[in-house]
Amino acid sequence: MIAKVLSDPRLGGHSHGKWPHEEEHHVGPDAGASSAPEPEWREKLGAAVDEITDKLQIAFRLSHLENTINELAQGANGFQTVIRSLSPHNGTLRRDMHVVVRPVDSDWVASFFDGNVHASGQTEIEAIDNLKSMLLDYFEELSELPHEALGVEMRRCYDVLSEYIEVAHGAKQG
Amino acid sequence: MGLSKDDALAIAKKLKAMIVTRRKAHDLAQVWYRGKVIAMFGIRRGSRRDSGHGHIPPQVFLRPKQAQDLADCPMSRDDWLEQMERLGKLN
Repeated sequence: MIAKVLSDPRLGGHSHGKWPHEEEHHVGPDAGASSAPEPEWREKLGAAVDEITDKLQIAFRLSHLENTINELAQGANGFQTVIRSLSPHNGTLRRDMHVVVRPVDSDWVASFFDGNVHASGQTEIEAIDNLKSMLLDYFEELSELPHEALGVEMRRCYDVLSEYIEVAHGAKQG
Repeated sequence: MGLSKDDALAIAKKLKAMIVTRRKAHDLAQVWYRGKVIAMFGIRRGSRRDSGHGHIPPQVFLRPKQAQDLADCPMSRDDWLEQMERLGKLN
């Protein structure tokens, strides 16, 4: 590829890959009668650059594959589990709650997708514990707000959480 | 590196969220718009500024990269609201 570029007559007009000082040797009666062989160094340079280009392309592809594998592995480390109680927090679960726990960066995120409630923690256990606490906070907070103050997603979240959570001081009025 | 506590606080500030304290583990950031809470997310308490907040993107209906943009600057509150309007989250 490089050898081709070096010999491109459009780039400086050095036909057949010759430089001006090389052409000088062929000026005269014998000009055009013989063509000098391609200098060996130029062929070697072209081959070396091509080789480096190939290696860089391979390295780039390997790096891309490595990133993809890491992302897949990270996703594969996630798991689904069931929360059966909100212990140690006050509050009762009316039914089992299916949650997904997955690594995100260097932490863990526990998610209750039905209600779009999520919490982070340094470990899987901490993430689940924080999710329990977050679920109760969400439910209590949304219960205390007037119904007309809830946007569409907050209303949906409250409706979903109401099916799962029961707290001592009662459900939302209105 | 994902979203940190500083990023979470930056997002709360940018969205002009109201911070509500309930339990010890976290505070709740409520985003209000035209008299309604349209989004809510938890901010972990404690002194670790680098504590992960990877749970925030879905809570503000964004992809992780967009949530980082919201924390860093490229995305403004108006940009976010425009996106929420498109997603039908402002009803």
